[in-house]
Amino acid sequence: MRPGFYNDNAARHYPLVSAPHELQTPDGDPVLLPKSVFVDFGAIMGMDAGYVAGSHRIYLRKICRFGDRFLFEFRSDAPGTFGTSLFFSRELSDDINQTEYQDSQNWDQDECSLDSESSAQSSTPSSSSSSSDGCPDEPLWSGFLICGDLSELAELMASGAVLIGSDDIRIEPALIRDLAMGHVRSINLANDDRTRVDAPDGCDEIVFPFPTGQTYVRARCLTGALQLIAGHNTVLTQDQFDNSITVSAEVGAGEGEPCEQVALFAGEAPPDGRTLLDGALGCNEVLRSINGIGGQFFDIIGGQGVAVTSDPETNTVSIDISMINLAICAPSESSASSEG
Amino acid sequence: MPSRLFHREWIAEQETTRYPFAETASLTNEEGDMILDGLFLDAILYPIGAGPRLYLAEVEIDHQDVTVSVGDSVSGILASGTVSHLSPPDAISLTDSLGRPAGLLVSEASRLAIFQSWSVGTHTFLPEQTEFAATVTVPSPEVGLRGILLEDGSLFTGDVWIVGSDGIVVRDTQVLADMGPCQEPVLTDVIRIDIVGDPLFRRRLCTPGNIFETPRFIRTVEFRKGAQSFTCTPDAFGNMRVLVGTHMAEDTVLRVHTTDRGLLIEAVGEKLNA
Repeated sequence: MRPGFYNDNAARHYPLVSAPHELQTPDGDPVLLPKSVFVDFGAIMGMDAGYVAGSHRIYLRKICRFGDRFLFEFRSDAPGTFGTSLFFSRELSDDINQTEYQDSQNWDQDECSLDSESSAQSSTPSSSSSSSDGCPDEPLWSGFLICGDLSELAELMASGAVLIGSDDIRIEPALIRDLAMGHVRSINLANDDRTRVDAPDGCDEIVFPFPTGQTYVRARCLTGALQLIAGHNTVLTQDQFDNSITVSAEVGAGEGEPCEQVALFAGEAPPDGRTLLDGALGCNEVLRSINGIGGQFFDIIGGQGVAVTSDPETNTVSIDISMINLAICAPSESSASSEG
Repeated sequence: MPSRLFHREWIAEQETTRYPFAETASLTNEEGDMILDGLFLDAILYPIGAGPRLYLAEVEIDHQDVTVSVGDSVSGILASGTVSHLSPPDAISLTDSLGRPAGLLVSEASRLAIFQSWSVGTHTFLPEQTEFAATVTVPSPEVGLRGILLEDGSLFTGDVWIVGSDGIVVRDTQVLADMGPCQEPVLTDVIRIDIVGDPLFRRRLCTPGNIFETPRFIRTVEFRKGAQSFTCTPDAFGNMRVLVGTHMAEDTVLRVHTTDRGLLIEAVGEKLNA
């Protein structure tokens, strides 16, 4: 057989960084890792792995043997990968240089966990990012391992044996690719809360039928071909030259002015007794003018033959058309009170 | 296995070769700056949008740092990494202009210290001088949506949130997208942006200082005359009209005038002392 890349690697530490690689038995006895065990390795660190090239590493955590099956565990010290490992399984009878691809898995899926790790397993995070929020699963990190001849390793490990590695037994850094910030995985939509009314002093509280003051999630994990459309009063401008989209406001643009309020989230409803989503009073629910005259203060002036008096305690304005000082006297009385 | 006698360690095997540069690379520029064999021991390069033939485009030296830039023959410089040449690390991590990881140049601190002997300034190289071996470059085509870039240079990647605020509402919906002639329209996810304003913005602006006092609006007016009463509500425009009726007499002396700030109600007729 012509010597090739894998043959070369079977006789050197690659894909591990060159150094004597000493593992330990659970009793602390040192065991030198045979060079022939690994011949190639590669890893892709996902967007949430927190991997920084040149700062973090991937290392051999342990090797376990169950009968003729070997389990290889690799870990990373990248913060986002805590609680996860790459587990590779190989049979002694497998072909030499066989490739195995794996995605990261939680420690609680480790078939040969060490006693010291059992407590950590109970609180391990998900091995995939975004799996709990409805987004498609994406492994935190992935990798492949190509093993060489395992017979030398088999001589060192009886069935049931465990060899514990360390972060010194690390993978060549140039075999690790970082996908951080590489692409937009999904678009998510949310809306901050609108300004909502509160009751004037002394009035009953305005109670909304949902928690307020929050950011309301509108959509999660939108992927694929998405379109942007201009809604009410919105102008979208696309510039293919600089690959930009500009969103601007213009009264009446897009879908025009809205005829009713736009809900921030599905099911948004006004509070009891109100018709608007923010709890405010509508134009037809507030007296804004009389005979077309409005303003913060409204004067009611009694002219000739009319007396206007007020009683703030009862919120009452009395208009007495007394005809006083007029030659014709036709007593009449009317009063008006307002309800706030 | 006698063959093992001839197998050197990976790094040891590369340090006397041009690797990670291509065998055809001269490693010397026109100014005579030379990249020594073994300065870099290994590399992985994956700048997004890189074309073929990645090469070490530039080495910029100042009094403290060395910045190594990688580019391609199409786009020029695509990524760079800066380390101190006074206390260099064992590798140079590369990022592109948007801060995205773009690879790693593996070396050793003692090897990178060679840049201390380079003159301050920018040392440029051509693709044929410092082309990297194809095996250390990972194609990363700039396809799909790689990021959302704001005007201030902020780049958003991963799971991006678009949050409507201050009178802007974003929502998802679906529309039947026209796929062209003879094609069935297809339901497509749509992000709709509505700019509807925040009617109570004044309350929001005053909230931090807690200086906004909720007004007590007049919602109805109750008119009473003796035992009779009736309630009036405003019309669609919030207006109410007070008129002089003609129910009892068409020639009533009562008059209602509007003023700048309200109403003047009076009776017309001859005064007693007139």
